[in-house]
Amino acid sequence: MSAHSQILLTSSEGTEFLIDRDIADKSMLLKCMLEDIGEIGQAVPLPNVSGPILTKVIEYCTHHRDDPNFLSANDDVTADIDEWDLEYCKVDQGTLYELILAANYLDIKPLMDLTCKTVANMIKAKSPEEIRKTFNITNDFTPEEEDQVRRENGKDWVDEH
Amino acid sequence: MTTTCLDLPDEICLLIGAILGPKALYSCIRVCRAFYASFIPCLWSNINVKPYKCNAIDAANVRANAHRINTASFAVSLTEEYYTIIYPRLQEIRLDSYDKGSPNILQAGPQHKIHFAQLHPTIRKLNYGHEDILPKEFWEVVETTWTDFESLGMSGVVGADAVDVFWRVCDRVQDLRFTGVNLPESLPILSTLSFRRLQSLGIALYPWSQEIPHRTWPVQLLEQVKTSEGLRSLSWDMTDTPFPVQLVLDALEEGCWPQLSSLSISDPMLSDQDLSKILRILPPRRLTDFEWSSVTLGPFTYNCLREMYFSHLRELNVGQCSGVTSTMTQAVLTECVHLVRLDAPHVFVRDIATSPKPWGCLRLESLVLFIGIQKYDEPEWEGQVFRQISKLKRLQSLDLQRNPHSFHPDIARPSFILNMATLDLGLPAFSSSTESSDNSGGDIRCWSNLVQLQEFSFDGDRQAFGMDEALWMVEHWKDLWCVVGEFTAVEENDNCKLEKLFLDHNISHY
Repeated sequence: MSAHSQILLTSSEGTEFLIDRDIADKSMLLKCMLEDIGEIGQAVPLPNVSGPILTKVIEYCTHHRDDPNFLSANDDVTADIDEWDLEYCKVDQGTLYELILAANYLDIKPLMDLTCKTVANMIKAKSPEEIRKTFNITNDFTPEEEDQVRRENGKDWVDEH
Repeated sequence: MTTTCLDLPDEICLLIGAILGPKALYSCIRVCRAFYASFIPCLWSNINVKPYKCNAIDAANVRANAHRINTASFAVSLTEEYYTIIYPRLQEIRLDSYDKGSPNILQAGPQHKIHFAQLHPTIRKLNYGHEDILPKEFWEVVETTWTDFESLGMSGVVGADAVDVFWRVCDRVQDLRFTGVNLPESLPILSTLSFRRLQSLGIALYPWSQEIPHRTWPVQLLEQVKTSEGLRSLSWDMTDTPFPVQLVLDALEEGCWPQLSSLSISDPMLSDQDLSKILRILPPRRLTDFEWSSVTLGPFTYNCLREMYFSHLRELNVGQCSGVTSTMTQAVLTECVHLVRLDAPHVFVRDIATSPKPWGCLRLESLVLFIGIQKYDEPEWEGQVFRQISKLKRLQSLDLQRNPHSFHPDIARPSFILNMATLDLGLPAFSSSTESSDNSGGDIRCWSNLVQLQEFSFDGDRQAFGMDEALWMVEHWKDLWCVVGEFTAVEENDNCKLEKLFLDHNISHY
């Protein structure tokens, strides 16, 4: 199969995206599908991914197109995020979560790691109240429940790794 | 409708939770009901049950969360109650030895442990550190029912009747670590065992072992694992048994252990030439982790490391070698760009400040190093050192003590370091004026960007740390969970304030 062949994808709204085969191969879902059925000559429908999100995903795969360590680079989950990836993740929270869902659906592990790490960094080193503020969450615990959670998962042991 | 973080499916929360530490997870579960449901499995997946400040995690809480537990550590003094709980997903169990001082030591008997082994065939990893003798039945259960067993860490005694089944269990695992194991000398390892799956082997004595009978099984074991093609890591620290140089040289020459990339040796009798011979014969470009814990690091070994391995070393541990000079350490910090962990005795401020090249080790996560000041150092050099360290943004652990291993006199750092002056990290006495900070070379505030720092150790008698410094650390190092060093400038009646500050932030202070 020629490396220069192109694949047509359709987003949830029906918008068509023509991308190079090696870009599509960054997604394990597409890669396996294309290997199984060969090039079908018609668009691959992606009903779970919207056009703007698909654009964003393609941007990521294109940037990392020639990355030799694409699948192993981010094995270390605590490692720093590189500059380009950091900029890439500066999106509103809604977009970030949809990116996570798209990366999960399309099975693009490095994008999954990157977006999850971004969410983790938003949680780290915050008190419950600060987390609520960050994610705009209302506390739906009753004071009794809150007390119970504290008691059952007491911090006596949380101080150790 | 926009997606919110509450719409993320549980399996994605598990991935996020796996990145977060226990502190963050404990915050997460208190946010709201949805967060509780998403993150509670992560919080309980790895637990450490030990009597801490008088109370272990309550057995009832453990029982209620038993289905979430993948990894558990049980202290010696834990009651049998914890051994009767069924943990359906248990993968790893550590039976630790470190709370030996507790009054009710070894409350769970061998029968409880055998029963526990029978109930938990899912276990892949066992670390056994209790001081009782596990009966033969225990090892038989492991051999026959733990089908995915792959890692054994053992310190303690193996009874004479259990020796054969014990070695058969060892023969199956990938990872084998012996620390102060006592095996009956007269019974050799079964010659039929080949240790085919072995990837990592560690043989060590307790540094504080009292009697040192000469042992033959470690050498026999090493002879027998020559056939382990997948061996990646070899570690030897036996004060009584010399490292079998010739055996290892022969093995390497014959092409054994083509994957070997991690080597850790402690043997004061091993000569510089012999050590460098081993390093030279190792399959080229493989060694990434090297630990050498004897008094000297000779020129042959150092030159060999520098020539062949500096560009890919990930871990270098030579903290107890007085032969490691400041110039050598500075060269390591400059040239080893892949270094993740370094333990070295010392480096002089002069060598850092006057070096033509900055440090290249920007991936460093753990640094144990004393920074020495000499008599005629220029005042601005210190500032350069502060800035150099501030570049190590991935640091999780920073230990600047003169003698970090002081709890054990035999592994002390070279004595000339002990009297040397070091960087003054303290905040300026009056923070009112900005000029004072400009004049001094720098202070702890230069390190506010070390946001991943989790452990920090300093010499209490060299740093006049008070409440201001403690508050600064808590404010800037959000992941901090362990501080070692005395805050000598805290007034006596403020001591409880200091302890409360750390307790409120879940930080252990020693």
